[in-house]
Amino acid sequence: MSDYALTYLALVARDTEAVCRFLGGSLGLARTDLAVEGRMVPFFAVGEAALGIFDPENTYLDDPRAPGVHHMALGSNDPARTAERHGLQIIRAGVGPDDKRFVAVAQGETCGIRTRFIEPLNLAVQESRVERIDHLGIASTDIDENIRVFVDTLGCHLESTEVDVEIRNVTESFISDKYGAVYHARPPEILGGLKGAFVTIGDCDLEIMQDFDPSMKPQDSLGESEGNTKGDQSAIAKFIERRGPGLVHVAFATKDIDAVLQDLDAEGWRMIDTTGRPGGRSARIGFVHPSNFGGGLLTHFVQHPET
Amino acid sequence: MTAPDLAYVALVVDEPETSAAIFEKDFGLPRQDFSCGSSNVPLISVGRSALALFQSEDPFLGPSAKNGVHHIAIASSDPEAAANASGVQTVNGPKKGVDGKGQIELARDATCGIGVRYTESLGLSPASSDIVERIDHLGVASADNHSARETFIDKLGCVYESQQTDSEVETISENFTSDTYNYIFHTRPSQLVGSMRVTFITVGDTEFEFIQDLTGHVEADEARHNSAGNTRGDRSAIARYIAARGQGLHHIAFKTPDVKEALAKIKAAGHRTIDTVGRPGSRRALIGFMHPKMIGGVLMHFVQREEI
Repeated sequence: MSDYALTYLALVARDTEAVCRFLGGSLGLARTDLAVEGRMVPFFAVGEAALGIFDPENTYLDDPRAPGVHHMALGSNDPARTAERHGLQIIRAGVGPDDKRFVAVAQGETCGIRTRFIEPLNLAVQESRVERIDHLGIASTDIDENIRVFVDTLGCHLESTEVDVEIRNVTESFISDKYGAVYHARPPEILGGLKGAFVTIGDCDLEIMQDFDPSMKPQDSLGESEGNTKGDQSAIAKFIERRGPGLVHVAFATKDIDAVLQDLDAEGWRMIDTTGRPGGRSARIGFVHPSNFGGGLLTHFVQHPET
Repeated sequence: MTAPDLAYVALVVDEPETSAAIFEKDFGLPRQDFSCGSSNVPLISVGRSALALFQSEDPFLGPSAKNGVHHIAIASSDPEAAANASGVQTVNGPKKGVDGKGQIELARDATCGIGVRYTESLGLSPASSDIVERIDHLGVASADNHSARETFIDKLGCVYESQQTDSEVETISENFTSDTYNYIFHTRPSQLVGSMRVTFITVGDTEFEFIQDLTGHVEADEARHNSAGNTRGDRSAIARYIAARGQGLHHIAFKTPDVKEALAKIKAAGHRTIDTVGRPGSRRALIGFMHPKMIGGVLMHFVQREEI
């Protein structure tokens, strides 16, 4: 059985400077600029992986290059042979950051997750506000298919599965000075939810999310107020409608989520959450507003319970 | 001062003839026609009162009459004296009303937006049917129930019946169930999504139901006549009504022995209903709405309840 670790995650932002200020300045991640096809691209080491920050014009990235999480590159000493061994179609081969050889795999073979194999980068890590990438958020229309590709074919570990739902309970009361009180509760109503599966790639996981019930209409306004499960479901549904299944967000593991969220808020970053709220895997989560980076790039923090 | 009796409730409909036929045939209530000015006005006896059916253009109603419950007429042997005794300002002076009876109109803005007239008695016999015993209440979109009590109890001599507060509270919970990690259950703070103060004041053999929205800060829901109603929807309907038309008579409710059966009969007669079974309403009642399209835009519902 083989398994793969994330080498780097390619992020696309309209405002790459803001992303660098966020990752380097506010979070304190170590920056290394690497030459990619003759242009310098900032990479930030985080845990055993790294984030590469690209502008939407960078042709190292395959089209389309919409702001957001573009592709993930898994480590392999022989990228081409690895892809071939798993029967994955190679659409591009070349030399990437730091002269490392890579291959890009056809998007359709990995459930819309743009995936590359690349020779490992060895970037310097420093003490920062985050420990590692916690997970890469994936929008899926069929979790079973994601598991078939990443667990059955590539041999990654299925870490856990879960179902998150949001339920509305309504009570009506009629309290009269003559007729007394009548209480009446309506049956609980499921507003929306997500099915999730976590698949380990190195020191982080893929968080694969599928709309619990696509017949439930997503809510219109997102990011206006603190997040919730219905909002998360709506975000996934809207993402799939716009872009199809694939990489949605990146989440960072931290030891003190409330302090991180509040510090970022105080530093002027627009936050969706300013305190941690319940999320998957018994963790607490808090989102950063994508508008900080020119839109499209969604990030959040995760604090796992003490074990 | 004796408690006032209700002579009739004036409804504005698209076609009085069609609506009268529905009340006669599908509700089983007797009809009698009267002249009123140059019009022929069908009157449907119900309980000790009656429904008078008008077209919006009828000059007897005054300008800008809209479909719905237009005014009520209180029976009095001397309408002018009764109006003067109330101390409420009158408009237009005494005139001839339904069946040429003398009548006088009170200023609408002095009576919480409700069209109130005094008329000589029409001398109709009481009537009921297997689905309608009498008018249970006249729903009023009210901006201020204190002022309604002052006007209708202190000035017009109506009798206080009861008051209640109806509320709808929403509580959202989130469940996270993992095959590996602990089960997390988390409830957000409850939110009041709709609340109304409802004051009942007796007039004749029925009551005014003054409904005051207490949740003005909550945005009213869109109108919705395709699913069963609830407090939140009722409260939104009152808020929308006041925003569009100001306060005043909003709906009419009929007391029935069995709300489900009454709705089924109306449905079987080929009409749409909003509810198909009774749902909890004010005064420990079960209520069920008919579709306002049935009687040219007049919102009507059934009420099933024990009287105490």
